[in-house]
Formats: sequence, structure tokens, C-alpha cells
Amino acid sequence: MHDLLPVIAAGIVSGSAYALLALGIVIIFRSTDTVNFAIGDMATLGVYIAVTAIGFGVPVAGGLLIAIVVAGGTGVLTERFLIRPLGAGHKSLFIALVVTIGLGLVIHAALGAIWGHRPTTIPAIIPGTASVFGVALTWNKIVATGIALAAMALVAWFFRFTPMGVAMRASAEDHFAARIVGINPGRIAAIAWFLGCGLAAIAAFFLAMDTSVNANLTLAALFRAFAGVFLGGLTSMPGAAIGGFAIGILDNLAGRYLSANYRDTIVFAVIVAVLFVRPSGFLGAGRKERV
Amino acid sequence: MSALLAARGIGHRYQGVLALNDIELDVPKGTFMAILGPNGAGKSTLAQILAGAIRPAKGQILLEGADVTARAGRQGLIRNGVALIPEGRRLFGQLTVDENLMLGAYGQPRAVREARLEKVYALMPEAVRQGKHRAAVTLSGGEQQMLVVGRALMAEPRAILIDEPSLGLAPILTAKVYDLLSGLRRGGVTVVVFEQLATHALRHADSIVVINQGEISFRGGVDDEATHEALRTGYLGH
Amino acid sequence: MNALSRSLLIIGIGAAVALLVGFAEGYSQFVIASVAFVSISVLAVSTLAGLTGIWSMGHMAFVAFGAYLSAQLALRGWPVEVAIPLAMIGAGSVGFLLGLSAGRFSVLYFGLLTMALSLAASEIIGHWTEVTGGDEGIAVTPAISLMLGRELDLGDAVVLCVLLATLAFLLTEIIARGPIGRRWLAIKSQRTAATAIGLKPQLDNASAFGFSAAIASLSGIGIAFSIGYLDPVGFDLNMGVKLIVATVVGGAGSLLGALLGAAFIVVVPEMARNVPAFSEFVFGIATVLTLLFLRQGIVPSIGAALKRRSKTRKPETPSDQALDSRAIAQVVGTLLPPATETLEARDLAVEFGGVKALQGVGLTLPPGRSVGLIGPNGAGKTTFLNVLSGFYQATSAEAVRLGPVDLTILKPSDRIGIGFGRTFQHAELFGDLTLRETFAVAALQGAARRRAHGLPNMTAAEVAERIIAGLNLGAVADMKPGELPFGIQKVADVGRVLATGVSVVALDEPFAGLDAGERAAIRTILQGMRAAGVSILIIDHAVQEVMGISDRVVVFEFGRLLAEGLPDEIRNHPEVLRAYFGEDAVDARKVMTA
Repeated sequence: MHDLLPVIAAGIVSGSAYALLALGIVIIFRSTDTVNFAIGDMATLGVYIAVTAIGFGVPVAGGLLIAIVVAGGTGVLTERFLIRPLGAGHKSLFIALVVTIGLGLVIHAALGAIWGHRPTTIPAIIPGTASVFGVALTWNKIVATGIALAAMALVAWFFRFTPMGVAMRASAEDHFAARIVGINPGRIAAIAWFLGCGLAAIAAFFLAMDTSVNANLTLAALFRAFAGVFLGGLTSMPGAAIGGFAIGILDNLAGRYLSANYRDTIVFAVIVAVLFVRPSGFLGAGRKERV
Repeated sequence: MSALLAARGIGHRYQGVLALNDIELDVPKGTFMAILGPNGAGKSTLAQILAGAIRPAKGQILLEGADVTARAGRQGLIRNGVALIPEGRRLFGQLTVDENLMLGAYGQPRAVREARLEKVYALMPEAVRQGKHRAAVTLSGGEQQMLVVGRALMAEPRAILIDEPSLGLAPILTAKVYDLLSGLRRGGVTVVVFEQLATHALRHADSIVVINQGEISFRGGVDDEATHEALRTGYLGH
Repeated sequence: MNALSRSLLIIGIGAAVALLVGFAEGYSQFVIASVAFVSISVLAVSTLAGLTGIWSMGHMAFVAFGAYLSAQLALRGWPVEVAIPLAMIGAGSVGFLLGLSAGRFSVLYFGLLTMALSLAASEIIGHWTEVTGGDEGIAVTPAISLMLGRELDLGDAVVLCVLLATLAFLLTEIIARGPIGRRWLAIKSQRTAATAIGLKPQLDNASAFGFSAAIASLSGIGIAFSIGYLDPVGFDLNMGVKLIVATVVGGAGSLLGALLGAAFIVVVPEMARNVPAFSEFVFGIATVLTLLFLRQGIVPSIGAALKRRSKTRKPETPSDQALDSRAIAQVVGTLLPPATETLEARDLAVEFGGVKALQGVGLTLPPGRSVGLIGPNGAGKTTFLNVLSGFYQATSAEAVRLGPVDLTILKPSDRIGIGFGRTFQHAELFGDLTLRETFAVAALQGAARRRAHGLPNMTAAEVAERIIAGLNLGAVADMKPGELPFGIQKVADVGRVLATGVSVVALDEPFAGLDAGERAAIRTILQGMRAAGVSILIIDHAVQEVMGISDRVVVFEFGRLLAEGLPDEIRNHPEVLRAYFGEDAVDARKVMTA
């Protein structure tokens, strides 16, 4: 067990991407009852545009910002023009999900058509590697994890202390009561979608930096993020973040101690087991769906 | 005395279910009005329509004579000084007492909100003041009802519409809520309660409106014999 | 078009296409086979979504099951005629077990769970190399056919696909359009009300999922023998998503829609072989546009538009003139036996997390009488009714019984069997069924009870017809509740409970939300039911209506029994006046003497 620490460290590093995606999914679900299946494709779109900008000489940090803004903006437009017209009500819950599936297909196809299928890369922010708990990690990964953690801390601060953040929590709890104290539901939805997709863009950006920019950039990470969401519950923000990290660690533990071949199997087995044992996740607020 | 709020020919249905039919109502400025009626009479619907929280299918809502019907359906008339306290209180249970109150003045500058917060806390019972950082859901029913009035006061409204304040409260706690409302009325706030239980309303209100099966069946003063007769008919039949 | 001619039409189309295969070229044969086997899996997903509201992204798991099972059986020399029932039984059983859990989840969560099912299936396919060949895939040995007495050649396999599709559509037509499908639709729109008339949502969801899985496995058999090679990519989540696309575009629950949707997802990629990602783009756009502008999908939307054009005027609410309580009593008398048992609740208590919603309440409803239950808001009337109908458990009770039967140990769906039924405040009619279909569904549930009490033997359709005639619903019998005014919906809710053959009926706010004419209609119906010997419990806020129709009135306040007596006694009961007008004796006296 002497190498447990490095495996956990590696798990936290890869888990930070899952946690960001999971957090994005949950923030959007809480505000508009929509599971956004296109979140990965929107984030990838942001990364592609960022890479193009970097190609024109924009610094890498500026590229990250561009990715966030593009993905966030796509999210805002999606909510306004595709989700909101569907109306509220539990019957439209699954319909909204299918709409985002459709949108994901469109974005995915467009990425391939516009940028082609030749992978490109993003230059490292800081080249080289460092040793953490005896495991060699690229500086890239360390910086990525740091930024991911900082972004999550910022989100936590936003929801805890700013009036808008408090208003968003209020709105998630009771749409009607939020409306009558003067909170604009459209603005809440827009901010949630911007935040959710923006966080996903951070994850996608670092995934791209790690490997390469391609249209299926977030696919594997997104399934793990969903596993994290199931662990934590669709309605809990801390649950999503913790769930994402937990999946990252589990994934690495399974790969190290069981079988690298069966990593995915184990992750999916966990999802199914959790759903059957506790459909609302371990930190979720029950099977809450508005009627 | 001019009308602060008025309903003109208001009609409404929920999925075909008759809720309100041709309601004409003037709420005079600075008065305490009680709108009484059995459950299912349409009181909650009327409260929400008057506060602009839902848009009526028919008719108009006038605020100081101006037609504000078009503003209904989103944030209501809270920015125009009409606060609604809906049935069942609808506090944000997972949020703290502080956060609940601050949300009452949502959109105001921080300094304004903090100044109001101090004033409102002065009106709150001890337990609410002591529990600023507790989740609202942990308060007792009476404290929650006081808190939700406080949340409405944070908007410094000209009118407060309150739906079934007595629901689920022991009479002694209901009395405290009504004392607070009467105090507000003396301070110049227009108060409208929508109630099924007539007791407290009869003691505090200036005028009574009885509503039954979606229609106004009676209007009058508090002590009129006719009021009592109307109530009896409205609730228990002939 | 009636059920038989629709079935014949399906067989006819299937046969015609099967004959056409003989004249088709290689590529056309491939397209025909593809549309045929894809239409089967789309049909499975679409039927499930349309009839139960469960959207599955995981049906490719069942398709894969059928494909790999038939490939393995063919390898061992088993004929295709054996593979077909084995695949259906296997997939159906797995589907049934998974479906049992559906009730625990919301539609959304279950949809996500089926996604996990699809991923899990892909994992198994990837790792179980002896059977599946892993990522490489396996070639399929041509199967023997007992009927042909030889191995299937490619042409035979294409015909097989068409025949499998015909079988799938025929089975779906028979099951889904028949009494079973109507049960599923009833449960989909109103789970609680469906339970109250004796349906069992969990079991029905499971059987629907099992049926749909069995159908999906047929698609796999078609794939195995017509393509001749099983590539795991063909069974992955992408394909599951395409089935959803086809379902959405064609229209969930529509047979023709399933065929169109299948053609759409087969033909578009074929037309754009050289343009990568083109079909993905088209699928995405089609999905989004359909959901934004034709929510029901193409086929049902066109159907609805055609129906609207030929639509008559909006129906009028029934007035009491049209209804005659004596005629109603006569009809009711043929539908259910008169009550013989007393409904009794004694010293009943209900707590929710330490909060006492009811304590020490009770009432007695002798056979054939009517009792009204009133009380201010928060009195616990609805809680009481929910205990009687089994949706809540009493924390403690000395007795809750109908005659000799202890109600507390019965499941909600078993109550109509002993003669207890209820209506709902918001009518809670089944949104996807016409009134006639609704009565027929309920009538099937009441058949056993009518038989046991020696009432004339009637089919479900006859029961429905009698109720339609008795309650004067002829003009609206073939409309769905969404098209009807609330007054008619409330009348139909009463009709539904009468169809179940129960003799004790609890009515939850039968007068709420109705205007004077509609209230008069309900009053007439209740009088007719009384005359036929039905015991009636009326729970309502419209106190004057309750007073008018009840033999005795029970009053609850704050979860306790406040008063009980004749309507006139209750009207002047000081405690009741206090409950409504306050603890101030002065006020109460004023009201009383007024």
C-alpha cells in the first residue's frame, strides 16, 4: 500500500475535471431542471475557439478566458432560445434533456466540419514535471488542478456570500417565492447556464492541454462526471464536486489495484449500484422535482 | 380615501376550473382589509393576482389608478411597493434567517439593505433575532410567520397582502402576527389579509369582504349584523 | 379503422414488402433490411415512451442481446425459429426485472439509468470476447430455418427482417392498442388515480419494459442474419441516442411514426456517406426543431391537425335538466351491488415526522347512507381520505374497516375488490384516454366484483356504454379529458369509480371549482347513487352542498373530531361556529342570532 498516496494524488488531479463538469451539470439542473447533455460539446466548442485565438497569438491564459466566455455564452443562448420555450412542468424534464442531446449532436458535427478531425494541441502553461508524493506530475496538471480548485472555491464563495448567489440558492429552493421577492428567473437561469458551461470549459481546456484538442475531448470525462453527479445527487453542489473527485480517485484505484482493463466497468458498476441503493445520491435532497 | 389597489372585472380559471369570476374590488390606501371566505373560494388566486404574481385571464389590476396588469406574471408588483406573503409562507427553508431577510430587499444597494435589516430585526421576536445564522426551516411555525412578514417588510412596501397567516398557528401566535400587522397599518402600510378563519380578522380589520365560489358575496364593516349574517351564509349555508 | 383492420393492414404491408425483396437489388435489399430491423428497435423505444412515459437510452442492450444470442445459437446449429422466442423470453425477463425498479425513480433519473445500462452493455460486449469477439466483433454463421429446411441466404435474411418487423408491429398493435396498453396509458398520466381503481403501476411498468425489451431483441436477430457480422460499435450509446432521435421525430407511441423515424435515421446517413458528420448534424437539428415546434412528433402532430379540422364545437357542461336521478339510479343498480357493509374508522391517528395530522378521529358510514365530512383548512380531511384509500398509513387505529375487512392491511390497489372506491378533487382523469376508454379500463377492474355479486354479465365496452348513457356523456364519450370542461371531468371521475363496481364511494371535494349548474349536475348524480344503495362519504369545503345531501355530518378541526350530528344540529353547533368564526363567544353568539 506504499503507493496509495500517489494514486490518490493522481485521482484528485484527474478528478478535478470530473468535479468541474459535475458541478456545471448540477448548477444548471438546480436553476432550470434541465440535465444538459450538451455541456461537454459546448465546452469543447469554447476550447476550439480558444485554440484558434491562441494560434493568432493570444496568450494561453487569455485562451482559457475565451473558452469560458464562449462556452458560457453558448449556454446562455441555449437556455434562452431552446430550453425556455419548452415551458416548465415535469413532462418537459426529459424533453429538455433530449433537446440538449440534439444540440450536442449539432455542435459535435459542426466542430468536425469546421476544424476537421486532425487533433491540435495547446502549449503548456509551465513545461516540465514535478514530483508530488513521489509521483511525477506535469506542471500542467498541477496548475490545472490548482485552477480547478480555485474556480470551485470561487463558485462556493459566490453562492455563499454574494446577493446574486444567495438569490440563486433561493430560486433553486422555491421558484415562486423567489419570483415574488423580486428575483428575475430569466437572469438566474442565464447566470446558471453561463457558470455551468463556463466551469465545463475550464475542465475541457485542461483536458485538451493534457492530450489534444479533438471533438470527443470531454466524452470520457463527462461519463465520469455523471457518475460523480449520481454519487452526490443531482441537487447538491458540494455533492457534485466531492462526487467528481471520488470518481477520479476510484478510477485510479481501480486502475492501479484491480485491472486497467476494467476501469470503466468499475466506474459504471458504481453508478448503477448507487442509483439502486440511493436514487437521490448521498448528499442529494431526495427525489425533488417540481410539478 | 383613494384606492391603492383595485381589481376591475377580474376573472380567472385554472385548467378550466373556475377560480374567480368578475371581481370588482377597491383597497383604500392605509386601511386594513380582510377578505374572508371558505377554502376554495378563490382567495389565494385573488391575492396572487392583486400582487401581480399571476396574470388574470380577464380584467385589470389598477395601482393608484394606473393599469399595471401587463406587469403581472414575473416579479409581480414588489418593485411598485406591493408585497405578497403567499399561503404556506414559502420561506427559503435551507437559507439562513439573515439571507431570507436580505432577499426581501433584493436588488437594493448593500447599505440600504443593511439599514433596513436592523429596523426589521427590531420588530422580530427574540428567537428570530438570536438565530440570524440558523436555517429558516429550524424556526417554529410562529417565528417563521413573523420572519416572512419581516421578509416582506424589507422591501418597505406600501401594501402587504398576506394569505392565510393563521394557517397552522395556535391562536396566541396568530394574535401576535395580527398585532404586528395592525402596527404596520398604524404606520401607514395598507394591509390586506386573506383568511378562512374570521376571528382575528374581525378584530383587526377596518372592512370585510366575503368571497364565495369565486365571487364577492358581501362587503361591509366589521361590526355590522349584516357581516355576521353574510359570513354564516358563506360558510355554513342557509 | 378498427383493431382488426389495422392488424390486417400491418400484415398486408409486411407481406407486400417481403415479396418486393425478391425483386430488389443488393443495395436496395440492404436498405430494406436496415429500415426493417431499425424500425423494430425504434418501435420498442417509442412504444415504451408513448405508453408509459419511460424514455430508454439503453435499448441497444436488448438489441445486442438478441443479436449475440441468435449468433451463438446459429453457431450451434439451432434454427432461427427457436432463436426468436428464446431471445424474446430472455430480453423480456431482463427487461421486466429492470422495469420493476422504474417506479422508484423519476422519469429523468430512470432515463439516466438506462444510459448506464447502455454503457454497461458496451463494457460487457467489450470484455466477453468468447461470445462477442470483443472489439473485433464476430462473423455470424448463417442460421438454419425449419420452415425453409435450409440455411438462410442473404435474400432470406432480408425477408426475415421484414417478417420480424411485421411481427413486432403486429404484437405492438395488439398489446398496445388493447386493454393492456390502455392500462399503461392510464398509469402514465395518473399514477395515484390508476392505483385507486385497482391498477398496479409497478407491475405494469415492469411488464411494459419487459415487452419493449422483448420486441427490441427481435431487431438484434434481424441485424445478426442480414448483416452477417456483429460489430460492437453498432450497439453503443450513439445508436441508443439515434433511437431517441427517431422516436422524437416520428412521434412517441405512433406505429407509423416508428417506421418513419427508422427510415429517417437509416436513409440520412446513406445519402450522405461522403460528408462526415452530416447525418449527425441533421439528426441534431431535426430533434431540436421537432421538440420546439412539433412536440408530439411528426405523425401525431399531423394526426392532431387533421382531427382539428374536422372538429366540432367545444362541448357544453352538462346541466341538471339533462340528468335524471331516477334513471341514474337504474343504471347504477346494474353496475354495482347495493352496499351491505358499514364503513367504520375508530380512534384513528396519523403522524408525519412527529407532527400529529390526525388524532382520535373516526366516523361511521352505514350501508346506503351518506355522511359529510367538513372542517376548516388543516383539519385533516384529506389525510383521513388518504388513509381510507390506502395512500397513507395510520400511525395507530382501533379500527379502519369495511364490514369484516380490515382496510389497514390492504394495498391501495386492492380496495376496489372489497367495494371501496374514491374520486379526486381535481378529477385526475387519464389524460391519454377518451372517457369511453377510461370507463372500459375501470370496468375491467370491476368485472370480478360484479360477477361475484351476481350482476348481469357485461363486457367492459357495455359497462362503458351504460355509464355514458346514464351520465349523459354521449356527446363527449370519445374525447380526452384535456378537451373537456372541468364540470364534465368531475362527472366522468364519478363515472370511473362507478365502473369499478364498488358500493362505498368517498368523494374528494366533488363540488370544488364548479359553477352553480355543474354543482346541480353532481348533486343529481349523487342522489341517483344514493337511490341505488351506494354508501357515500362526501368531503368538501362547500358546506351548504354537503349539508344538503348528507344524512349526518362529521366535523374535524386541527386533526381532531369536533362534532358529529344531523346537518341542522351542525349548522347551529357552537363548537362548529367557533371553529369557523373564532374562539370569541361573543362573535359566535352574534353570528348565531343573526
